[in-house]
Amino acid sequence: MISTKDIWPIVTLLMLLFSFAGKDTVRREKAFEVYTSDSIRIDVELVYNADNEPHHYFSHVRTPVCEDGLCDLLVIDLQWDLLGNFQRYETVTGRPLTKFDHEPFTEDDHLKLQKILTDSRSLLGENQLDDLIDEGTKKVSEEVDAVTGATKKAVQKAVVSGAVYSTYVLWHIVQGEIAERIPEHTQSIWNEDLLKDFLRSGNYHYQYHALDQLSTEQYIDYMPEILRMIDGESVFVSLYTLNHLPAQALENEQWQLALAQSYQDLSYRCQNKLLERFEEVELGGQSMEILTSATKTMNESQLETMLGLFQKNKASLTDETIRLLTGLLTHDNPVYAEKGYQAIKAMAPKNKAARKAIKDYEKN
Amino acid sequence: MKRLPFTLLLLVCTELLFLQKANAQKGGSESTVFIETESFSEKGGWKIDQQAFDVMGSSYLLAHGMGRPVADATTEVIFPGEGTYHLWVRTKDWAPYPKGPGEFKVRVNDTPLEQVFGSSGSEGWQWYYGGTTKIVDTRVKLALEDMTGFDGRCDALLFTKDKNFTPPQENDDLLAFRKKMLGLTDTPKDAGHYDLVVVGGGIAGTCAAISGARMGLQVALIQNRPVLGGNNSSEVRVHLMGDVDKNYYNKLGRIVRELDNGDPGNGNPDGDRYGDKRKLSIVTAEENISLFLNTHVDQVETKDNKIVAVIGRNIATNQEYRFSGELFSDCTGDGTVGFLAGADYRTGRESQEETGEPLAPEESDDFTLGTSNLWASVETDSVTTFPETPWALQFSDEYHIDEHKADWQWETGFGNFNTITEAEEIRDHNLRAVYGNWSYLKNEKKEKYKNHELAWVAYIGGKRESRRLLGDHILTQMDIQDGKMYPDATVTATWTIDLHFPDKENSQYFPGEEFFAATKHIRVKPYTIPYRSLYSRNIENLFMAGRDISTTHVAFGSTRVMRTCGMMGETVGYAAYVARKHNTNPRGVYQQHLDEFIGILENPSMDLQSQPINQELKRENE
Repeated sequence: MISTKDIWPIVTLLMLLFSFAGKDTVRREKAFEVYTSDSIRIDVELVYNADNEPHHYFSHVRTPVCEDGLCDLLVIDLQWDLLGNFQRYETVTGRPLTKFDHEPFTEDDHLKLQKILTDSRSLLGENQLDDLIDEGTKKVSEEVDAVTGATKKAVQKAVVSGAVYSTYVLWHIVQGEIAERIPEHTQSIWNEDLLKDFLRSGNYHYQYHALDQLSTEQYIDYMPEILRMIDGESVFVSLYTLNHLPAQALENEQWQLALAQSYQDLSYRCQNKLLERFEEVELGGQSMEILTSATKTMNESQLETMLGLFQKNKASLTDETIRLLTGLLTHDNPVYAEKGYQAIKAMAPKNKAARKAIKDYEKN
Repeated sequence: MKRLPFTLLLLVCTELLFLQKANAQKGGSESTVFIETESFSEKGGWKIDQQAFDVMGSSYLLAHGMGRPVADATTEVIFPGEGTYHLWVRTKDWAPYPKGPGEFKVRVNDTPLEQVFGSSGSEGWQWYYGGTTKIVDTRVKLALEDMTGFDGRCDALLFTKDKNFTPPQENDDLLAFRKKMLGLTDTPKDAGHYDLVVVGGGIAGTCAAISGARMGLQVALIQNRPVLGGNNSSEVRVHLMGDVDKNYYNKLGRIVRELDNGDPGNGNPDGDRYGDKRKLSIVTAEENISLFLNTHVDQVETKDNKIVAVIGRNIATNQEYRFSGELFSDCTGDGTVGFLAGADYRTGRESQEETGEPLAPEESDDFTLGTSNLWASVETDSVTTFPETPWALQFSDEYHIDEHKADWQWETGFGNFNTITEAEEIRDHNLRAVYGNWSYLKNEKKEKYKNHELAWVAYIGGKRESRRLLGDHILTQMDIQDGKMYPDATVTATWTIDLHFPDKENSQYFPGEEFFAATKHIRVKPYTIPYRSLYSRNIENLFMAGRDISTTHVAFGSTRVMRTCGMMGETVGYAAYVARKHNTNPRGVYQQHLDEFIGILENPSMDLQSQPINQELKRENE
């Protein structure tokens, strides 16, 4: 019979596991294992969410960290996303992270360690452990009969002060072979559901990855998701998506119109990219009408691009587009008015109102 | 005598005549009034910006409020008569992406005119029509009303009764029009004759002036800002680098030490720590120095490969001054005096074939180190906000700079912009990076930044590289790394070869628009700079000190730091003394008086006033 006393540690352990993994993760399976340079085995698990979808990778690590012949056991839980980007760590009860002379990590130390471990381009990747220590400056331990070198000034930002060895060892675990093997493992289980999840995730790593997997046909299939990314929070994801849109998506009447409708809500760089992409294809009358209504808020260089689109697509311009365009002739900015005038005149419109606007402008 | 007009660059226009409480000038029509905004009697929170003077031929007012509208600039003008006037405003949209934030209004007799200026979507300076206003009393109060605090700017106002009159938009036409209207004089005020005229009041120029003055020379020190110190002033806030304790001539560096106010780092929010007052008080204590602040030199008179005089204009009043002299020192950083005088100069990077330098690129190009507009935030007791800035650079979780203040890495240029002709654009690009990133941090990383507030953003750019004036010796990487000790060795330099380039990640996200730098420090042992790198090879009476001395691009990477530049200034002051004593030029000092000059470097007396040569020089000047 199991007593209450026996159950509590199990309950506590389960609570810890669930609190770390997130409340909606339910299943985990071993994905692969790696060995450190000290031949320590590290098992990496794939953790699923409540809907049984792959959610993240996890590892409970126990490894010695040795400093001038003195070794300490580092025990820690680590988490990566599905593409091997390190997400966070959590200490294990009874095994706090410590610095020189067993001084415990402060809150700032934890914040710094989290930042360092997340930085895949840290100086730690370029340096050997010995490069980080200035052997010329020794610190004497008060607790053990040992001395240790001080951290070199150039790498002080890249390590937690007093915990150079732990920082170095941990960084190489989270950014080393495991980070390389995770995308391979994810690729081995890649399917349409994951593709959809990645596109809808809001995680830019996932979104770039998914975009890179899309065939031209899939771009069309996933245009609702693509449009959400173009119109989304991240200017860089939006730019990337616009850059990689296949011509078929730009030519498609429905999606071309949707893209034109998104113009006003885009950031400046994305607006420019969209206009640039529109220069590659023929634009329909409705798309041109929507873009023309945006000319009032365009800057001079965007207006230049737009006037080029008028020339190129003049066959499809509606009366409403011409009417909107003639509005430029009375623009507050004389440069806009002149550019508008030159463009409309060159089109020699038959539209009466437009011809009158040209005459009025010439009179003034 | 040939008077060289200021012929620099693309946009050429001269200044409108300053009209404050005086009779309005009559120009193209009998009833036209011009007002230069930098001449407004009260600037309020607006700042005078002269950084594009060499391009525009004018200063202008800038509403630099870091997102908080600044107080109005105001003035009074006497109009030529009553009636209805048409207003024209010369301004620009500095961030037309697609519409900039620099909105402002013009108020006439406390009534704001309807038109909003500064967000037209056009990036160039031009005249904008502002509607009509009825003038009843000819004494008119004018005001510029900033609406956003985001760097709106205004060059000039024009009122005319002639409804068909349009001010010239083209630069050449505008130049002629302004001259005609305002009669910029061809005979500027005489500001005196000097043994040594030092142009540029950064660390190098200030040291040159003090050094020369203490040797008994009569010195003019001309600076185009209201403070001394240049990049080390409170306007730019770059700290002093380079050592002064490893000198071959160990008495060099004394003046640099005097000016050194301690090390507050780069971009410290406390501007006082850069010691503007210390620098000014040291200079004003020198009775042999005539100091001209707020004066931008834009013309040079030459005769037979010698400079006879330089002409500068006050950046607020537009009064022109003529400074004649025997010797001149170009401490402008940009090499402006040398350029105007026709001195040989170089910009960009030399090729490896040309210099033999291992660090030089294979092909020569226009690449230069960039310009920094440093900034700092401070922690406050309460939560503060900062607006969205859609016209600025845009950031995301994926890429932003997660820092509460700037350091040297905040830098724009790198061959994407010309550091002289596009100085305004470079500063503006820096501002777009600073504001865009800060807006991201304040709005998207509230937990970390909610209690931080922008305390200071530099509107004066800290330039690193422009022209290098060529001397009898051009310092190279080999000179530095081989530690060559020439007979005319002077200043000892210690800084690494520190050649910045765009940070790789920044390039990935902002290709061609980088604003963040990286570097690799190539270590050097202390080495000496030959005196022949401190004077022009073809303008006979021109010295240089500071970042525009005669080096290759690679060597410049090491000589450019300010304590080293300051010691160049000290050296130039001593050389000028020897040149005056023997009535020779800078080259003559090297060819005929090198031992004496080196003797002074070894043991410069700081009190030579009683020596015969100085009394003689003084009498001559009097």
